[in-house]
Order: sequence, then structure tokens, then C-alpha cells
Amino acid sequence: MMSYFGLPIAKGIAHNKIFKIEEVEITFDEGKASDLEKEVEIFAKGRMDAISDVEKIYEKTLTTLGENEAKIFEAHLSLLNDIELISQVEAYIKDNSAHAAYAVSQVSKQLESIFTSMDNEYMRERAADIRDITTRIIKHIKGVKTDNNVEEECIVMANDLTPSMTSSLDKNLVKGIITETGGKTSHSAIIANLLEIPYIVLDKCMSLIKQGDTVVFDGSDGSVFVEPDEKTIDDYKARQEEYDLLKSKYKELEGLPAATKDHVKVELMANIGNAEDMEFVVNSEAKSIGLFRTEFIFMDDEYPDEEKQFKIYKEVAEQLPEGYVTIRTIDIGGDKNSPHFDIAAEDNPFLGFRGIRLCLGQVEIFKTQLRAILRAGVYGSIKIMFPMIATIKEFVDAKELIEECKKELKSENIEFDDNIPVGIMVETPAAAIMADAFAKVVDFFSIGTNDLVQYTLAADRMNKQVSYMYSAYDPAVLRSIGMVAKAAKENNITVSICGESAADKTLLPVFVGLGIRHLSMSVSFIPEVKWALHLRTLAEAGSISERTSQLYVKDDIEEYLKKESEVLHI
Amino acid sequence: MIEKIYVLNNEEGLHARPATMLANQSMKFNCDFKMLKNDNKEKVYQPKSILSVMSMGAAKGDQITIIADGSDEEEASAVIGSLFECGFKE
Repeated sequence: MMSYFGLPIAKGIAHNKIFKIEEVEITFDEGKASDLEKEVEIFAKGRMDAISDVEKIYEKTLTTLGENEAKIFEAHLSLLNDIELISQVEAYIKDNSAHAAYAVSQVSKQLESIFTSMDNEYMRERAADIRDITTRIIKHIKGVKTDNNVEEECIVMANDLTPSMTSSLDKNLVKGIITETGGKTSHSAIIANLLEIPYIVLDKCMSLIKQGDTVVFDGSDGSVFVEPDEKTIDDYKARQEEYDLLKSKYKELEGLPAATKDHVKVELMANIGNAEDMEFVVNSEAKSIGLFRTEFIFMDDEYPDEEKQFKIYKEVAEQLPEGYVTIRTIDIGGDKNSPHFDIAAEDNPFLGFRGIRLCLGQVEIFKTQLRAILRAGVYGSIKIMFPMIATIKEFVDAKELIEECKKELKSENIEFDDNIPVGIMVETPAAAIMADAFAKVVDFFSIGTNDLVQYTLAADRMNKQVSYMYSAYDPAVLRSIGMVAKAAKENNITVSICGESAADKTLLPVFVGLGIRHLSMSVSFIPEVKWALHLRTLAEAGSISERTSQLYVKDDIEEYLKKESEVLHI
Repeated sequence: MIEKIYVLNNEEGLHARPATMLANQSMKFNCDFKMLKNDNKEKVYQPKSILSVMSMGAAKGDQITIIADGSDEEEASAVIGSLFECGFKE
């Protein structure tokens, strides 16, 4: 029995035989072909077979995952029918007396290199599409199996899963996924979460684990056992039962409002990054969006003009009949880039031209977004939130731009919502320290813990050497949150937390004790946070929070809070 | 043969959606097309091919020459021209 630790991607226990999807090394005949007409025909046949494959995958994806996920295969079909691709391959065969498969591989290389050298993320990704379709043609010509059809229950293991592989997985047979590369936001991760298939990324798994090995793994903590012994299997069976039990416990609370044991309501809201995420939100208990990260809309190559943005914001707002959507305006810069902004390389991007600073510097793009939001407000309840605010002046300037947009819309006779609340993300120490002043001018606060932690402790969250410092349990961070909550309460405005720690069940009593009544998180965490919340009264949470405020060492705080959680089996 | 020159005026250049529109429209015609970027005759592109259009890497402000040659060249030139003139709006 061997054990490893991987990166957890999608929750759940998997226990099954490994079905390894290996990329077959294809060898080419580089010699001269004798009958060139025949080679052209071989190419045509391979291309037709590839087209019929992709048509099937397209149809299947359309029914199982929907139009959006199927789009990529429409693009693959148009590439397979591209006259430039066809004529280049035919010319290569004729000019070089080449065999069909070799000609396809050479033309593919040339095309890929054109795209990979482009100064644009979108175009670079197209190189992968070209490789995907040309590999398919080559496999058909060579008579190599193209799609790995899973025929019995298994855990699928591969180097990486291409969109065509993930979309064609059969949920009834694929009980788990392990890949060598990938991450939480990759395409396959999203699909695995959607289909509720346990998934981990394990470095070098293709050499560590053999075809047909029996493996058990936990998609929540990343632990993996190869050829597990009886005891391990029993352990993981117990874990599975525990998960099932928790799930049924969570189910008991379905339909009831999220509240403490003594019925003090705490609203649990959802974080989203695009309109498609609403699919998960409408199926969850979240009534509102506490954080809509709009920068993803600006990372596409195509510039999202006012109409396009208006449609997106309207679509989201309309799906929240009982709640509202908090739209965070563009937070580009730092680690997030966009082709539509001029951002020079910086030594300290996190301390540089990002968020509201960038927006106030490139007013036209910012105003386009504000106009789109104001217009969408007619169709649902919307709040505007500015990111990275450090000074009162930034807030006043940004708000002035909203007023300008309103005047313009009025003079153009375009309908808009005149009463949209405007608030700020509290994520700089400056904003936390000045919270009492901000509370007099803003309509609401939302604490972005991810950045607040890194700025408060001056610890880069990407830097492994200082990662021991980066923690929301640090007393300085908790005290900042307390200050913001107090300022909000005194001025009668709402305050929420929307960073990753909003879903931290161990910190939950501290937040509740500090007076936080709104938490925004990934929808998948809502059931467990709701369950943890209902186990304590407000007074119990208050005393935990009080005790925490007397501890000055991060590790002591963490240890204390974990103990408090364990008592209730949280 | 009809030759026309346009200045690309849409924000995103000839990427993704505009490239698809251009290729889809061109394919409806029988005539031969040629396409040049900034009058560079060394490199001839093919509007009927999405791959070729995207590989041009044409950005806002680039000068695009479209040459249509064949029985339906007049209609083809007009239809393609209108795409450029309206900035590839749907």
C-alpha cells in the first residue's frame, strides 16, 4: 500500500480501479510517399472521420452539459472544415511527397507556432484547439483509438483532461478523476464539481499509479492510497458514510432560514464570477449575490461594450427575485490582467496601479461599466461596490463618476435606476482604520479578507516563504474586522464578509460575535456553514469572540477556535 | 476584379467573433478572395478561412485590403465591405 497527497479539487470519496488514459506516442513515416493522390484521399478520409467524432461529442455535450460547454466543439468543427488547413495539408503532401499523417503533423506545428507566438491569451489558447483537432485526424489516419470509452466503473486517470475528454465522461461509470496537471479553476475542475465527481490533482500520478490498480482517495483533503489494505478501505468507507450523514444533516435545514440556535438570522450569499455561475446559485439557498467579480468579463479578448455588459448584469439581477446582486466594479491589476487596460509591468503589482486606481485612471472603460450597471438596475435589485478603496477621496471621485453617468443617461433619455446603493470593499488597512469616517459616506461595507490579510500583515499571499504569516486568524486581521463591524453598526449600514474566510466554519463564531450578519461565499459551502451556524446561540458565539480578542498570538487563536469547533463536531 | 481598402475600426480587431463572421460571409460566395494587411503584398491571407484571418493578428487601425475576383465579385465585395463599415456589429 502506498499513500500520497494531492491537491483536492472536487469533494467526495472514490474507491475503484484505475482506468488510465495515456497519450499514445505516434511515429510518423517521414519517407517519400509514392501515390500522392492516394495520400490526399487518406487525409480527406481522416478529416471526415474526425468531423463525425466531433459532431457526436457536440451533440452529447449539448444534452448533458448545455449550450455553453458545447460551444467549443462548434469551433472545432469550423477548424476541421477550414479551407486554409485543407489546402495547406494538400500542398504539403504534393510539395514534399509526404505521407498524409506526417503532412498534418507538420502543418499543425506551423499553425500552432503562429498562434502561440501571439501577444494575446485568447489566441494562444487557440493553439490547443488546433492541436486537439489535428491529433484527432492523425489518430484516424493511423488507426489509433481516438476516444477512450469507459465501459465499467472506474477512476479515470490522465495527464490532463481536454475539454472533449471531460465532456464525454459518463457520470454513472466515472467514480473519480485524478490528473497530473490542472487546478481549481480549470475547465475540468468546473465540470467535475458540476457533475459531483470526486477529483484530485496528483503530481506524477501517471508514473506512480498503474493501469488497473485499486485506489481510494478523498477529494476533500487530497489523500490517496494505492492498493489500500482492509483497514484503510474501512476508514474511507467510514468517511464516505460520514459525508453522506453530513449531507443528510444539511438537508434537514433546507428551506429554513440561516440562523443561530436562538434564531438570529445571518444571511448567506453567493460569490460569482460570471452570468453562467447563476446556474449553481438558483439551485442553492442563496437569495442574493454578495460579490460579483466583474473582471472576468474583461479578460476575454472581445471588449465587453455597454450593451454586452448591460445584458450580463440584467440577466443576473433578473434571476434574484427575492434578493440583490452586489456588483464589484473592475478589479484588474495585481495578479489579474486584461487586454483592454494599459498596465505596465510593475515591481510591486499588488501595491500598484490596480482596482479603483486603474479605473479612475482609465475613466472611459469605467464609465461604460457604470452606465451598464445603472441601466440594468431597472430590471432587478443591484448594489455597486468599489474595490481597493484606500482614501475617502477615491470613493468621492468614483461616486462623482456615477452621478456623471446618470446625467448622461438622463439627457440621452435612457432608463436607469436612480437609487442604486454604493459601497466599498474593505481590503486595505487604510479603509479599515478609517472605517468610522467611511461609514458616514458609503451605503455598505464588504470585507475582502483575502487582500485585507495580505495588506495588514504585509505578506504576499503568493510567496511561499512568508505564507506562514498569511492567515485570517491573525489578531490584527480580526481586530480590523471588528473595527469595521463596529463602525457599520454605529452608522446603521450593513457589513458583510466576502473573502475565502467567509466560509470558514471555525472563524464563524468570531464573525457572528463581532456583529457580522452577512457572509458571501462559493455556493458549495453554504449548506455546511448554515449547519455550523445553527449549532450555537448568539451569546455562545459572542463569548467565543470575546475570548479570542484576548489572545495575541495567531497560533493560540487557531488552536482555541479549533477546540471550540471540535466540541460540536464542526 | 474589385479591390477595396478598409481601416479596421472595431476595438477587438479581427479576433474570435469578427473572424468567424468574416469567414462565414466569405464562404457564401464563389469568387476568389485575397486579403492583405497594411498593403504588405508578401503575405496574402484568405478571408474564407478562420485560421488565416485569425493568424493575421489584425488590430484596430490596421489597413485591410480585400480583393474579390469572380462571377459574384460585386455582391461579395459589397457584403464584406458592409461588415468592415459597421465594425462587425451583429
